[in-house]
Amino acid sequence: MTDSASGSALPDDRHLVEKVRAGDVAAFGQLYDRYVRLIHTICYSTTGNTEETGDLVHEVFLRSFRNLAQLREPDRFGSWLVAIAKRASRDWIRRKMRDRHEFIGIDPGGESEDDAPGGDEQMQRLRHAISTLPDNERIALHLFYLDEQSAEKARKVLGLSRSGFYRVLERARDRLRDILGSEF
Amino acid sequence: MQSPRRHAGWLDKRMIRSLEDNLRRYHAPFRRDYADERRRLMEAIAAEADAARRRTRRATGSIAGSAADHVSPWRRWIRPAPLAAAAVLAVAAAVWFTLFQSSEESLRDRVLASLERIRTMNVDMRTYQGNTPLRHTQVWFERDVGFSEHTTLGDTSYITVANNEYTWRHTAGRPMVARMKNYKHVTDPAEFRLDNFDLASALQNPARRDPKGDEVIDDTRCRMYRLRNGDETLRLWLDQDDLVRSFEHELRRGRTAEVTYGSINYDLPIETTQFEPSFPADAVVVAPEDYLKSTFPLSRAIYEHEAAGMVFAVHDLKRLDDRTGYMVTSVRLTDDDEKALDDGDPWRFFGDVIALAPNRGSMTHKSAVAASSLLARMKIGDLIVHWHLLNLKPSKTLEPDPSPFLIRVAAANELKKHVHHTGRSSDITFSAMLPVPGDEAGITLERFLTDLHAQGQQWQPIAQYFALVEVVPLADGGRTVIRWRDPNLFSVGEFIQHTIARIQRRPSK
Repeated sequence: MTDSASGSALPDDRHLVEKVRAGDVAAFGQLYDRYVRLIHTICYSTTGNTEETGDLVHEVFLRSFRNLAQLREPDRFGSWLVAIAKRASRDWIRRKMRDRHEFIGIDPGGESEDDAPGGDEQMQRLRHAISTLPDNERIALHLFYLDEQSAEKARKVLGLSRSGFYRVLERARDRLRDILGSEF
Repeated sequence: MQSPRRHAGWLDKRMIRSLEDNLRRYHAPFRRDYADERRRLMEAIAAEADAARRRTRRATGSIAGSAADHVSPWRRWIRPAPLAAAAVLAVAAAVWFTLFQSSEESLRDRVLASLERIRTMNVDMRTYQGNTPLRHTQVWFERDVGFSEHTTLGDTSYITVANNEYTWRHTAGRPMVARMKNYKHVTDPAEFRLDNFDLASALQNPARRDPKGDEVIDDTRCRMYRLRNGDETLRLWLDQDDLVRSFEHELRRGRTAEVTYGSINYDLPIETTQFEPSFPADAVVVAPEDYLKSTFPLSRAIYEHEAAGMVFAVHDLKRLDDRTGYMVTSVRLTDDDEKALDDGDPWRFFGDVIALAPNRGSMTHKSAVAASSLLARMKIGDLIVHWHLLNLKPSKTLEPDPSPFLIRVAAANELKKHVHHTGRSSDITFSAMLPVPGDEAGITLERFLTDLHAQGQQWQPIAQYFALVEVVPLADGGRTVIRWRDPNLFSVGEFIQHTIARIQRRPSK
């Protein structure tokens, strides 16, 4: 079984999930390689710092491994993983809420330049603008433009039809254009 | 396969290219090597897999989610069909008991009962839209001592302080502080309600126990419950005393969601200064009811009309340059009712909300009508005005009023007698409709006001029980504009200036 959408010889998600379920732990590494950047960006938009993002990403993949038996449609591993990442991000915020002395809130524009991806002011504005997008739009941008995944794979992760995916992408672009104006 | 980039070709290509370039630059740091994190994860997974193998004792068994393949002695025991059927029935009965016998009603009762036992409460809530912070609220409560709430919404901070005598409300940077008689907040934490969260009301929604969400909070094992109502989802974490330790409230608005994360501490000592009003030295403290009477006396009203123990009045009415109708209005209790009901109940401040406040925002006519109770409809020439008691609670704004019937309390032509203003069309009709639950026949004014008050209490905690909504169709047939106001104190001049500026900012069609 291969990834027919991209036409490459890489095994598809279903194949890898079945291998992991059969005891091949290394196959999970391939799933990790495939999705780590996406999950990292989702988690980063929650934590706003690299160190805690790493822990959160770790937690997301660990949760997915533990619950892999519950995944009914292995070829939808990507969208399932994204849902876990969203839930884990929420849990992270809630945990932070409890320790009020440490939690200073999610302020996309308020962190140090060293820690933010893209240091200059323009990047900060872009990052802030992306953070205001609805989840689906943000993830669509990441998948398509940043992770450079095919539309077919990206739409599967989001659980959308092809036309639905394009609509989401278009809305995200329109919204970014409205927020950022002609500068971009 | 059509290229998505080509698909969007009708857009400004240069802009898209620029955006793509920037997005890739932004994303560059994420395209790094994740070798260390990968190693750490794979080690953790390998350890879990080993543990799973030991548990299942099956060398060739599944690793991930191995519990699914593990055949327990219990399952072997119930393998005979009759035993299996009995087991299924027992499990179904247990599930039914869990879901319905320990139902949402009892959950609500238990949670509210637990609040009766506490002395102090400290709530911290943060609301986000996507990942964008919208609002931060901190609340302190001490039974019979005081209540205070600090909310930051965008660049504006709102402060409410209440003790056994008064409630003060102040918007940072504004010149006036409203001082009103106090509220139930000081005595009953179950009355805890904020603009975007109402625990007692949310607990009325269907609840489901979700053991998967159980967590340890401050060394206490907490049970998670999920309550859903349409687009609203509330997750609660309750400790062994049924006190809410943490909550997560999600309100979906179309494609976006507003999520509030809250944590609550109980019976911690609170400094008494927390409940002492502390406002800028030059702030003017105003009692709204007096301010209303002196600023908008009924003797100078253009129109006034009495219905259900309240007086509706119009103080100014004119056309702006863009032909938009513009009004200043008020609603207040009649003198007799004010005297009769002068026991400190907050509903006496109806009128303050109306006349002293700036515009807060706008919404579509359809939404506002669905969300509120129509109080009155007035037609003056080509200008139609609807007066509503507006339900400002965000989660409920689109729900139609469930009241079973309307009480009509005024005759249309009565208002003509009260028109002091000349030069206006005499084609004025006026009616008031007040929806209240119960039996229409035999309802008393006292009962009506009590019901109305109770409805208001569900919606807003402090003084904002009711707001007036104006529906102003533009003379050229343009979009209907609806305005509502909150009780921040403005002078008449400020109010008019603010409103005109707002109208001028509105994009023309």
